[in-house]
Amino acid sequence: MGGKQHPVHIDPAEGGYDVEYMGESYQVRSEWQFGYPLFKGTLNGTEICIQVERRDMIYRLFHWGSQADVMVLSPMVAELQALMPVKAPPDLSKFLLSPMPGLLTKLSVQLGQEVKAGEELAVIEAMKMENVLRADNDAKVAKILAAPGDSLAVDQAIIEFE
Amino acid sequence: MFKKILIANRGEIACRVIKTARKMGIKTVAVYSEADKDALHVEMADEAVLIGPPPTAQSYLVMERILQACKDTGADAVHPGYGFLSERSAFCEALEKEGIAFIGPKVRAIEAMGDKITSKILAKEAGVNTVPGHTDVIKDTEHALEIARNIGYPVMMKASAGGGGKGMRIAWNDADCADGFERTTNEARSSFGDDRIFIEKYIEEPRHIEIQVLGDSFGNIVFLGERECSLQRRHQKVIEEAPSPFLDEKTRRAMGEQAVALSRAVDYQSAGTVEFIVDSKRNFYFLEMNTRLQVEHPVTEYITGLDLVEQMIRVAAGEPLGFTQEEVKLKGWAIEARVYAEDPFRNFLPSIGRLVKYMPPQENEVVRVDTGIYEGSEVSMYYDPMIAKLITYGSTRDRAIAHMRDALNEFFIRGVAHNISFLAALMVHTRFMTGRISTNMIAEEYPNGFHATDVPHDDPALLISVAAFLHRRYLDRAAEISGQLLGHERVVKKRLGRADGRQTTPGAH
Repeated sequence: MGGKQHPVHIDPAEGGYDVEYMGESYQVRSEWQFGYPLFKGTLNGTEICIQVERRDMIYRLFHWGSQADVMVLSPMVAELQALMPVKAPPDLSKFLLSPMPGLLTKLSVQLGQEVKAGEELAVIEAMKMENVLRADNDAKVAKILAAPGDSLAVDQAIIEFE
Repeated sequence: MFKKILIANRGEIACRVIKTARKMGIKTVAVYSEADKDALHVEMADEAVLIGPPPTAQSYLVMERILQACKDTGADAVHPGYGFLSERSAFCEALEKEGIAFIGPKVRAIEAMGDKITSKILAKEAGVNTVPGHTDVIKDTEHALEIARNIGYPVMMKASAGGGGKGMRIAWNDADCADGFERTTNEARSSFGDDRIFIEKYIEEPRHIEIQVLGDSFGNIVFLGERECSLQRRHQKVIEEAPSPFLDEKTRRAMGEQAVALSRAVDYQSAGTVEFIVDSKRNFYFLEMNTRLQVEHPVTEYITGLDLVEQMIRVAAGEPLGFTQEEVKLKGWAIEARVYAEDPFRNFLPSIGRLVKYMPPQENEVVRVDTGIYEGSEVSMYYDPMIAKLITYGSTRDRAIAHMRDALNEFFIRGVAHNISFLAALMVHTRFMTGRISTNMIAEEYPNGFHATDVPHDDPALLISVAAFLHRRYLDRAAEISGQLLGHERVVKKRLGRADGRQTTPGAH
């Protein structure tokens, strides 16, 4: 969890499992079954309620507004998992992406135009508000990928820069 | 009493009104746009009438369609909810002409209070404290700059016909003022069909505290305590509570009395809200009066024990108020959190889509959920992205907060991004817990937006042991699969495990 490994031992116990972690024992008791979105139970006798989801190998836990993705692996698999390459996200800095779903009401630039940081690029109307999209950096418009009047999806490219 | 009420609104407020009408034995009619044909309010009402395509300007804002729906269904009264036509005096007038009751104030009160400029003049005459500002209509950008300089920056620009935080902007200098004036004018034109703007002094460290008033057609007007709505993000309320942790009895009474005086000046009938801005020394100034039911009315209902929608219906039907000011007693504490389909980790951008999973917390005497959606329904781009209002009650403020934390923890929403993480973070924020809030608090505390690191988990061992539990139960179940080769059944090793993974951004999907 959090990019770190946390060795644990799990022992079955009456009504749940005992988890040993960092020399401490945690008694987790719950009626939880696979598929329940809410994990309701007790931890060392204290009532807890956590939202849980399984996403492939990951358990996504949501509690007190924070979220953690946790993988539970056998010691050998955990060692191998640590060697897996991490895929870098694609570079989208050359694009103006729609930050929200909405209606493109205005395109303020033309093909080939040089824009300065802070200049207005486009206006999107969503939820009754006009949102002005401005340039983060100086750039030149290479391609225009949407037209005024288009309904945009989130992260849809509007303008490509050189 | 009315036989049949038409609700000229959608979403949670339409459902809210239907519930009370049903309780009073009154039939209900819903109106809906094409985008809302499967909406909860349509389902709940006894009858439903299609009034047009999805955009509000072609459906919920078209008076003629709603009037026609009243005639077709024989509704003898209309509840407008909030937003849409709720503060259009022309709508109230048109209904009255047809002999249909408008469940709200009379034309004169809506007209006087709906116009922020007129309302300020009236407030001054009624002896209500007002904020220094320019109450005349502004001609153009040049004129706006001149006025702003005269008042002194910072100044606030507001749409004269606006409300609910829409069409408001602050300017700190000439450039802000010129740019803001044009945008505010545009928004005002598209949202309210009226592009008049006015400018006033902007008060720093302000609190937004409003007084709920209720009047009948016999001239009785009472105030039902206050609501503190200081926790706002970009002028949109996020958390509201009643009573306010800031007011003392003396200020409460003074504000209440001024609110009643203003209401009396316009012969106010029905439920209304007088909004005040309160500075750090408990000086208060009149902001505006909302001549309708407010989004956050449930907190007042909790602490007064009244059903405000029922009171509005009774007053509109010509009944006198059933209680006096002395009989209004405030008890306990209530908090409301607005659950929106917006992603706090992406600068609160609205999210749309289908609610793949929707499990609100269990309602009981201290937890109330007002919503207009259900699992499988859609949050569309045409309307407000509100999913639900979560309201909790407690004998003390701390208890109400504790109930809110638990309720937020159980609120399960998947399919659209939501702001539960943000609401949960506010509930444990020291400034909120100690009541040191202002309308700037969110901007001050989260200047660079809201991030996953703003909601650190204080007990990783809890998460790790629960994840270990989940996986082990999964393995134990997997080991029970039928048809395994005899003698080679899967056996889960007695001791096992290592938790690995990474912290992620909540709300991402």
